[in-house]
Amino acid sequence: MFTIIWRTILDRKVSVIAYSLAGILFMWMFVGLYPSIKENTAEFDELLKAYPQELIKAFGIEELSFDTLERFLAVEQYSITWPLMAVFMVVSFAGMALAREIEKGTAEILLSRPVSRLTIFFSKYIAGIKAFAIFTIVSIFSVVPLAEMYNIDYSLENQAKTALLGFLFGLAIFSFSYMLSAMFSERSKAYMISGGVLILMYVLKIMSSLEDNLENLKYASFFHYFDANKTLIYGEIDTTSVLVFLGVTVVCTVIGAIWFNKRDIAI
Amino acid sequence: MWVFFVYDFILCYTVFMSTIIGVQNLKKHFGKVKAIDGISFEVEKGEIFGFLGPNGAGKTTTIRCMMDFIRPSEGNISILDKDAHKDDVWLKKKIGYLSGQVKLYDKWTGRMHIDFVSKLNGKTDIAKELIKKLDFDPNRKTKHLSSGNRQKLGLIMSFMCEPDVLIFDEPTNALDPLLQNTVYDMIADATKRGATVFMSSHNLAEVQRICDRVGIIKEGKMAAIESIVSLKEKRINTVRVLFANKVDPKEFEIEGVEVNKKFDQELVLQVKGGIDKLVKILAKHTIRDLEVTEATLEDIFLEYYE
Repeated sequence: MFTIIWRTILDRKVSVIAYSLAGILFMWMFVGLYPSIKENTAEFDELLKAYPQELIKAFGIEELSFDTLERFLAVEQYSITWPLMAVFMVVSFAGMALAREIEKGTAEILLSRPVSRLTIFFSKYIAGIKAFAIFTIVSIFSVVPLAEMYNIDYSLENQAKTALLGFLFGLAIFSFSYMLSAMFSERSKAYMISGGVLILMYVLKIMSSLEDNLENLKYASFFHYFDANKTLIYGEIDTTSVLVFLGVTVVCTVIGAIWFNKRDIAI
Repeated sequence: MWVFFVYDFILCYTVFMSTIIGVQNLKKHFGKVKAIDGISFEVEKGEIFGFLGPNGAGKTTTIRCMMDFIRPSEGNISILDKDAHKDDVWLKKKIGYLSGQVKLYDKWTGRMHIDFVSKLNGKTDIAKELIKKLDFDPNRKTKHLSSGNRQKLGLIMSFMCEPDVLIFDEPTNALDPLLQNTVYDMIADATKRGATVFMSSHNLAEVQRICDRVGIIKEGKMAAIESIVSLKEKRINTVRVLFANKVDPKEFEIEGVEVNKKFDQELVLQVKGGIDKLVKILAKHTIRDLEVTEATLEDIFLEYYE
């Protein structure tokens, strides 16, 4: 199992480094910008208040103030930039892990060795989780040295809680995409369905914030449960979010494992 | 009394273990398409069993079922007295597999492939020896390798753990004659140490050269299982006769003789079994030229496809 995990991570090292580096650069950009933003907090607060209410809601901006780094990052980094990077990373990793191996035929190398299908499934799954954990830790905790560098106050506890929620958010999406990757023999299908479902979820979240009678649609969206405002600003993690992310993770992983174990792999 | 018991045990064990691969009533249907439709065969210890058939006959599907890549719709496959599906992890320690077009990780070198396989197999291997024997450079990335060198790497990976059973799916596809010979030598060496070989092919000369027995698959069904010797003994001859005068082809339509081509004074006949009856009819005519050619394995093979 270790051999496959290690090999998978090594194969994806460039991608893990690239995503982590992008995460650090975005964080650097926002942290670097923050001192000048803070100096003009009052003007920015006024500007934000002038934004259409629908736009503010659509991006989940509940705290109309940039008086702390956390409030600023919740809007700039965690409303779209970080979730988008996380989604791209886990969906691409999931598609490469199984569907691509079947599509390219390299799955025959693994399947013709004394390794069970479940071992293959879980080895690549663990490799994906490890890679995403590296990205999460590096991209989120890069705030610590950067904030120190710019002499900005920050809450390590809230950052850690955001990292945990972000990891669970990515884990749920990874498990869902990985399940699709285990089901299909072409990674384009896994990408298309994963991408389609996630776009739909994002649209549902926006629609639910725009129309009161569509409010309940938000519960069908992962983006609703990834409430960076609440976690990063107030240090609260919603139990429902944790349960939803863990529930999706377990259900998708079990379905994916059973499917992969039973399916025909015509290489 | 115990002597008989031990004798019986040894006898049963020997008989039981002599069948290395057993396939019973194997069926694999993809929707309405019957890729394999109830084939059965056995491969004995130390045997090289050729699995012949044209593209689409069901060879690769059978091999994929044997390797547990795909699951049969019906039927059983046992290898080394173990179920090919339930005991697949145990079996794959004993099986060396090679497909005609080896699939490799483009970004890896040959060495990385060999090390990976070695770690997964978890036992000592003869990779170094094989690298030397095949004159293979393991330090190049596989995306830069020619098809021949890719196949060499595939051979190393399938032979390196000295498996008891070798399952090959058209192993010499796209190989030059020199490398083909090397593969044949390696297969022969493997059988000398007791390995059993199951290989699919559509190359009749190859099968004729190295196999002991052959199974001929036609549209998902086993058309015949014959030893190479008995296949050749089917004695199919092609007889070309040039007569001095015009002849009536109907005169030659006797049992075992088929008129393949007819011209005014020339006939091309395919004769199955003895040619005695034909010679007696020919003796009634004046013959300017007579040519009798022994059928190739291909002609024999095509017999099963008529």
